[in-house]
Amino acid sequence: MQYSSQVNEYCKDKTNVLAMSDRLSGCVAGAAGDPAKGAWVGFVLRVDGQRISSLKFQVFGCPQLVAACAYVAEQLQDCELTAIDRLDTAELMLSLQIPTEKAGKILTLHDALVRCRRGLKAN
Amino acid sequence: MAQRGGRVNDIYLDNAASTPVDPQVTQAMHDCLSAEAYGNPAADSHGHGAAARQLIEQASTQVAGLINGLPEGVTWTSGATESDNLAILGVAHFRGEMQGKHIITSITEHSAVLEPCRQLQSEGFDITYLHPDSEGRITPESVKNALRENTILVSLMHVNNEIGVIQDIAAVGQVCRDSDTLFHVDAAQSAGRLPLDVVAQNIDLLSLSAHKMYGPKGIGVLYLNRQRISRLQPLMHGGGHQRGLRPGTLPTHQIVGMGMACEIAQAALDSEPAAIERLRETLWSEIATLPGLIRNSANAETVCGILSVSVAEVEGESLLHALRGLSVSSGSACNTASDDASYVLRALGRHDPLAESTIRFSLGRYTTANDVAAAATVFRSAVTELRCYVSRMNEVIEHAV
Repeated sequence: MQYSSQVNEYCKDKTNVLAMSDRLSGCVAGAAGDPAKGAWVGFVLRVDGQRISSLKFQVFGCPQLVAACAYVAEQLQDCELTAIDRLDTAELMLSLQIPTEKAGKILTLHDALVRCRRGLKAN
Repeated sequence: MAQRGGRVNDIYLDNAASTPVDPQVTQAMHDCLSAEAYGNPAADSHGHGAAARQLIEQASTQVAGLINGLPEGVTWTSGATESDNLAILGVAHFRGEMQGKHIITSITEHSAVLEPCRQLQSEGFDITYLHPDSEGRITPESVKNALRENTILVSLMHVNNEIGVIQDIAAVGQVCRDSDTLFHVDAAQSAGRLPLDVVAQNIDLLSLSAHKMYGPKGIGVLYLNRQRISRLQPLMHGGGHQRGLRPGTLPTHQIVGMGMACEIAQAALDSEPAAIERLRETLWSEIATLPGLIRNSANAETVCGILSVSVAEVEGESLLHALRGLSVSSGSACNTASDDASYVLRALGRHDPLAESTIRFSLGRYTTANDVAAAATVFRSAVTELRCYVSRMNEVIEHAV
C-alpha cells in the first residue's frame, strides 16, 4: 500500500491526540466504529460559546484514518461549531489523497464528529 | 536489497518471502551466461547443447545432494508454486480415476497447495483439510485418522511460511508409507534451513524454490521418488522435455544458480541455522518487554529465521506503516492480495484484529546483529507510539455514552 505525503505527514502529527494529561470534564465526546472491525474513532470536543476551543481524538484504524483524524482536528481548531456540519468527507479524502476504498473508514470519523455535535446539542 | 515503498535502505527482515541472491550464485549464473553453454540442453547431439546438458546434470546432482535424493528425481519448474501444482494435480489426474479421489492436506498450507485442492474439489475429488493445534502443528495421528482406502496423496508443508512452525514430516512420512499413500512435502521454507532426507523421511514428492535459499527467482524443483512414482499427469504439453513431465526449454543459467544455491546451503547447514536462530532470539528478547505481544508458535519447534509476533492494541496496517525502515511481512490484509486477514493466524485462534496486527520477521544469511538491534528499536518505538492513539479509548467510549 502506498500512502500520500499528506497521509504520511499527518500520521506523524500527534498535536491533537488525546493525551493522558487531558481532562475530559467539561468536554463532549462522540465515538463511532468498532476496533474489532478495524476502525474506531473518538472525538473529545471543548467549546467556548459557539467556537471550538479544542478537538482531541483517539483512533484505531489504518494510516489514512489516523491522518484524517489529525487533519480534521487541526482544521476545526478555533472554528465555529457549524464547521462540523459542513464537513465534507469527499473533500477531506481529496485533500489527503485517500483512495476511495477507504471511504467507509472515513465515514466512521464523520459519524464520531456528528455524535459529538449531537451530544453538545443534548447538553 | 529488497525494498518497500521505493526505499532500498530498509533493514531486510523478509527472508521468508525471498532471499538476496548469494554472490557465489550470481557468479555461477554469470559464468554460465558468459560461457559457451548457450545451446539448448535438449539438443545434446552437438557440443553446445551437451555443454548445457552437463551443467544441468551437475545442478541436479547439487539439488539431490541437499535432500539425499537421486539426480534422476529432479524435475525443474518455475518455482515452488508450480511444483506444488504439478505434484497435487499431477498425482490426482494420473491416479484419481484408478486409485481413488481422496487427498489430505491442512488448512494452514500455502495457497499453492490449497488452490489446486479446491480445483480438484470442483472436479469431484474429496479433500480433507486437517486443523492444526494452537501452535500450528499437524499431528501424525490426525493424518493417520484421516486416511481412507481411497486416499491417494497427503500434502503437508515442512515449515509454515507465516509462523515458522515445523511439522514432523518424518513421522507423517512413516504414516503415509505404512498405508502406501504418496506423501508430498512443500519444503520451500525449510530447504537449506533444516535437514531434508527424502529417503529417511519417506517423502515421495518434494517442492523446492531457489529464491527462498539465496538463489534466483523463477526456478524451482519438484523432486520425485522414481521408485514410487513412475508418472504424473503434466500441467503443460509440448516438447516432451523432462520425461514429458514439464515441457519447455530448460533455463540453464537459472538451473546453475539453483544448483549452486543448494550446494552452498548444504555446506552451511551445520552452522548457519544456529547463528540465525541466535539472532532471532536476540530480537525477541529485545522486544518481548513490551506488553501485549504474543509470540506465535512459542511452544512449538520453529524454523531458525522466523519470528511471528501478534501485537495487541494496535491496528495492523498502521503498524506496518509505522515500521517504515523495516522490510517485514504482516498478517494484515493490506499486505496480501486477499481482502482477509491471514487464514493461518486465524486457524491458530487469533481473532481478526490480532491476526491483522501480526508481524513476521524473517532473518537470513545476511542479517546482522546491528540489523536486529535497529529493528528492535524501530519496532518498540512504533508500537509505543501507536498505542497512544488508543490509550484513553475506554474513557472516551464511557464519556460518549
